[in-house]
Amino acid sequence: MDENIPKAVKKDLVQVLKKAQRYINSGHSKKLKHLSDYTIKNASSFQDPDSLSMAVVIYALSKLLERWGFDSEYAEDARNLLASANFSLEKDAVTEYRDKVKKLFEFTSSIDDKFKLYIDRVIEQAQIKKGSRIYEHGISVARASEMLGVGRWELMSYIGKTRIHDETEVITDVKQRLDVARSLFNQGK
Amino acid sequence: MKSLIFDAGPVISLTTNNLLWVLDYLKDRFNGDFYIPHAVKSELVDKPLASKKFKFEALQVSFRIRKAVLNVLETPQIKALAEELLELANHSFKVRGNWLQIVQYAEMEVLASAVIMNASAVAIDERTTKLLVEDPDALTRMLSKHLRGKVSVNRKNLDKTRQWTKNIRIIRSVELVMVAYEKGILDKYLLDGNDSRKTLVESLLWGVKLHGCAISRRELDELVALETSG
Repeated sequence: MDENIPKAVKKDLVQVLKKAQRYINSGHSKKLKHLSDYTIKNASSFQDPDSLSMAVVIYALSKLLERWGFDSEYAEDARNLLASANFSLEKDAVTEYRDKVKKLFEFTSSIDDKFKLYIDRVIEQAQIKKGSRIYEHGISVARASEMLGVGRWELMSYIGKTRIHDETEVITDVKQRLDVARSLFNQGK
Repeated sequence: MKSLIFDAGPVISLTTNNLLWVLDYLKDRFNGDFYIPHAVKSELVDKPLASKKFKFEALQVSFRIRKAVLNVLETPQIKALAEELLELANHSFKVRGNWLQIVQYAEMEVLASAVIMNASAVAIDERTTKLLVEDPDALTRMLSKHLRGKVSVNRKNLDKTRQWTKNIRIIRSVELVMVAYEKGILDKYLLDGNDSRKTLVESLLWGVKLHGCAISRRELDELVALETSG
């Protein structure tokens, strides 16, 4: 993996790590989710693994802390791990920073065996959700699925259930496109 | 011989709606062959078969490949052009000093196959590749709206892409199911009663929309009106 993190990405990641700690302190699950969406904008532009994994881990933390409680010991552990990752990033220790992000992922899945399935599902959902955001920004489905490491079947099915195609509508001539299809099948048996 | 090239999207939309069999009938009425490029086959069959999800769906696609309803395409010319198109498309937009990787190889293999085979059309459900071919300015506007920072356009590369793809006609799974409906292939699903045709058309269109076909609600309503008025 590349040792460098682009300056603009690093600046945003530091901000995100600081805000995430603040939102965990104040128990703002919604704000944590928005923070994850903010990070995914970088992921669409730079398509770097650091923004992608940060977006996924912040979203997963928001879901897990909703379940465990923002005043639980887990919340404190999560905050400490975020602070530690922030510290490494600010001193440009990129390998150390990435190890700490990896620990954040491990943390989400190591807390309780009985939640293992739920946590795996949360991480997977986070990846699919972030993939759909990247698609919403104008990146193709196949590229988004490649970036997040999720299957195209999963991503397509998820995107269909969102309002992406209604909210960022592309005006097309419906009849004209139907006529093209009709013209293709006007022969044969 | 006519040819229709499929991206993964329409095959996914049809399969997840239990409508993949419709391709058997449409192929008979097409008077030509249906193709999927090799990288698309990998997305549709090989990857899900190697995991636990969508495995049976992958088997259904694989069955259509064995029956030659879908033929897998792989030639050195297609590969070379797909790589060129990928390079052009992924060096067409820049944000904050970075080239945006907007598409993936499989999607460009669909376009390259259409160019090399002089295909009658391509079936694509996702929005970005469709816009790249039909309306790159709308794609620029979409990127500008959603990404932080100014989107600069490499007009030269976009024009080259356009030069390659200008004759490609695009349809989606919604149009495929509407043609199937018009041909009476789906009449066995009609209910008794006055609104049965409208119910069938709506069910088909919502089915493929909810599985990822890029169609807005407004377009969907327009299609329902087109199919059921008079």
